[in-house]
Amino acid sequence: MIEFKNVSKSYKKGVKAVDDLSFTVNDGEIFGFLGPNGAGKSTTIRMLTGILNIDEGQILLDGKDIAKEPIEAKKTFGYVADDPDQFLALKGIEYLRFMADVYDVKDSGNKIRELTKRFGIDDVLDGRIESYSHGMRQKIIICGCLMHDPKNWILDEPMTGLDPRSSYDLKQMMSDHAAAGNCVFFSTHILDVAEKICDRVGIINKGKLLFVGTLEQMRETFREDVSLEQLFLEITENAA
Amino acid sequence: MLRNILNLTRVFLIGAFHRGSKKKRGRRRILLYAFLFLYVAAMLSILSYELIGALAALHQEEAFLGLVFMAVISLTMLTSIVASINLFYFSKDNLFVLPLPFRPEEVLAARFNTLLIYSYMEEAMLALAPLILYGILCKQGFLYYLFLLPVFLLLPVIPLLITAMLIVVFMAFTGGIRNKNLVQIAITSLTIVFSLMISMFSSSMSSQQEAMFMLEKANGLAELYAKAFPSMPLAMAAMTRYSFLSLLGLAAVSIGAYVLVCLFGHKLYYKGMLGSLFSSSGVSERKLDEKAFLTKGKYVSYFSKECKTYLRKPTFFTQLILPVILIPPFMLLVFRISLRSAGAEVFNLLEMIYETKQYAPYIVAVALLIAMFNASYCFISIVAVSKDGHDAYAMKYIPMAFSDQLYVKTAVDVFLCLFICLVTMILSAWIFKVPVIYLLMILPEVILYSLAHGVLIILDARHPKLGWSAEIEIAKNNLMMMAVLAFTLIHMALVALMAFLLNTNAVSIVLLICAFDLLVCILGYGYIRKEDLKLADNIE
Repeated sequence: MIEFKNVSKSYKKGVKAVDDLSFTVNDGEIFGFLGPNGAGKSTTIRMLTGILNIDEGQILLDGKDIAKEPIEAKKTFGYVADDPDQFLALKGIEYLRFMADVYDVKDSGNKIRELTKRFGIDDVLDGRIESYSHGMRQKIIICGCLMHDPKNWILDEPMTGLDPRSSYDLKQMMSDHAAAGNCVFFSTHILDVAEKICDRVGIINKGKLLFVGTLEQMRETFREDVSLEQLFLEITENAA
Repeated sequence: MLRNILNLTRVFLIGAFHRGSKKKRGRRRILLYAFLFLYVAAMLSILSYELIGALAALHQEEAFLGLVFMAVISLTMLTSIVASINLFYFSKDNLFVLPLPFRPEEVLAARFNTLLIYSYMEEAMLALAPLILYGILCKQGFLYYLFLLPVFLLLPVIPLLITAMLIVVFMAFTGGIRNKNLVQIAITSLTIVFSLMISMFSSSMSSQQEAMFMLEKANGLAELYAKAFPSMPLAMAAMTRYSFLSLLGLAAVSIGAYVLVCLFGHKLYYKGMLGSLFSSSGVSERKLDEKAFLTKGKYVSYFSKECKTYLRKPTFFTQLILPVILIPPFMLLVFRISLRSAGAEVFNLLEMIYETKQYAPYIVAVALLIAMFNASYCFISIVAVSKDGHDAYAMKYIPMAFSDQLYVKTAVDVFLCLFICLVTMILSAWIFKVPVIYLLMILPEVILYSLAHGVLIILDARHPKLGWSAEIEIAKNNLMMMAVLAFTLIHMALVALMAFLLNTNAVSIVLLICAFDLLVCILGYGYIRKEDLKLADNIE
C-alpha cells in the first residue's frame, strides 16, 4: 500500500511543484498516475522513491515512512525510472547480480533466468548495457527492479521503448501482481494502456491532484460515454 | 558554404565549452584557468629567461624562436591525437549533425576549426609568455608584435592538419572502429607512454650534454622540423626578417592545405565516422556459465560495480586510473636514469647516508614525501559520486545506507592510493637501495594516509556534479583537484616541518603523522556516518 498524506514540494519560493497531494494506492490495485508534461508526476514519483525530499506531508509504503525509515521503505518497492540509460558500463548479468545483491535476493540465479527469459533478453546478458537498444535497456532495468519480488511496483513510463510482446507481458505481469494482493503504481502518457489495465487513476496538473478514482467515477463526475483521452483533456484543460 | 561552416563551428564550440554551470561555478572555473595560465606562464618565463640569456651569449637568440615554434608544433601534434579522435568521431553531436543538410566538407571544416580553437588555447599557454619575453629582452620593435599575431594563428594549422589527416586515414581503413572504448584507451595510453618516454630520453642526457645540445644544435634541430613542416621556415622568416612575403607564404600554405584537406578529406572522414557512432563491443550472445549468476554480497558487488565503471569508461580509465599507475613509476625511473648519469658517486653517497643513523629522520621524511606526492595523482575520491551522473539517483532508492555507499566508493580511492604508495616503496627499495627497515617504518602511515585520502569524498558528496554530458568534465576539468593537491601539500608540509625544521626523530615523525591521519579518518568517516541523510540530500 502507498499512502500520500498532504505531500507538497517546492522548487522555488512560492512555486509548488506538488501541492497538498493526498491519496492512497491500495493493495490489489493498479493505479495509473496521469498528467500533462510538467504536471508534477516525476516529482511525485521521486519523492515516493526517496530521490527527492518532501517539503511537507508524509509518504508511507506499507506503513513505513520514506523519510523516517528509508532503508525499510525502499525494500518494499521496485522502481523503474523513465530513463533506462543506467549503469551502461556494466554487462546485463552484472547489473542484475548487483541488484540481486543490493536487495539480498536468495536464489537470484533462477530469478535472473526466469525474468530475462520472460522478456527475451536471456541471450544478451553477456553484453554491456551501453550496447543494448533502448527497448533492451528498458527490459533489463525492469528485470532488475522486479528481482526481489517487491510488494509495491513503482513504474515511471514503463512501456516506452518496449516491443508489443514485451509490453503485453509487462501488462500481464502488472495484472497478475495486483491480483496477488500487491500494489502497482505507474505513470504513463499512453492513455489507452491506462484505460485498459488501471483499476483507478489519479490525474495531476500543475502540482494539484484533479481527480482520483475509477474510470466509471470519472465518467459520472465529468461526462459519460467518452474515452479516457477525452476526459483527460477536458479535465486538464479546465484546470488550466 | 562559409556561413554553414561558421554556424557549425559556433555550435560545436558552444557544445564543447558549455558545462551548464551556474554563474558562480563559471567564475570559479575562469579563475582557475587564469591561475593555471599565470602559473605556467611564470614557470616558462623563468626557463625562457635563462635560455635566451644562454643563446644571446652565443649570438643565437633567434634560435629561441625556433625552439618555441618546435615546442608549439610538438605539443599541438601530441595533444591533438586524442582531441581529434574524440571530436571528429566520438562526439555525441555527430548523431544530430548527420541528418542535417550540411555537406561533409562543411562538417569536417567546422570540426577542424573547433580543434584549432583548442590548440590556440594550448599555444597561448605554452608560447605567449616566452615570445613576449623574447620581444622585451631582445628589444624587438613594433613589427615583431605585428607579425606575432598572424604567425601565432597560422603556425598550428599544418601540424593539426597532419595529425587530423593521420587520424582520418587510420579510422577510415580500420573498418569504422566499433569498439570506440578500446580505441580511446589505446590512443590515450600510447600518448601518455610516448610523453613519458620523451621525458626519460631527455633526462638520460647529462646536464653538460643538454647544454651542448641546446646551444649548438638548436638551429640544426629547427632545420629538421623545417623539412617536416613547411610552415616553420616561413614563420621563422616572417618573425626574424619581418618578411611580408614569408607571412603571405605562410598564410597561403596554411589556408591552401586547410582547403585541400576539407575538400578531399571529407570522404575518408565520413567513411570512418559512419559506423563508429554506436560503440562498443556490440551485443554479445555468448552463453553464460553458472559462475556468472553467482552473487557476491552487497558490499563486494557494489565495489565491483565501481571498479568496472572506472575501468570500462575510457575517459575515466585514461584520466583517473592510468596516470596513477603509469606516471609515478615512470618518474621514479626517470629520476633513476638521471642519477645514474650523474655517476656512481651518488649511490655511494646514498649508501653512506643510509648507514648514518642521524640521517634516519630525513630518509623517512623523503620516503614519505615521495609516496605522498605519487598518491596525489589519485583523484578518485573527489569524483566518486559525480562520475555516476544520473546513475547517482540510484544511490537514493536502493536499500543501502548512503554512508555505506560512500564508504564503498571511497574504498576504490584507498586501494589505488595504497597500491601506488606500495609500488613507490618497492621501486625505492630497488632503484635507490633504500633499506627495508625504513620502508617498513613508513608502512603504517602509508596505510593511514591512503585511508585519510578517501575522506576527500566528502567534498564530492557535498557538491556533486551530476549534470555532465561528457565524462571529461568530471575527470579532467574539475576544480576539486585543487583539494587533493592541498591535502597532499598539507601532509608534505607537516612531514617536512617535523624532519627538517623541528629535527624530530624518525619514529616520532611516523607516529605523529599517523596520529594526524588517524584523526582525519575518525573525524571524516564519522562525519559521513553522522551526516548520512544530509549528504544524500545533495543528490536531487
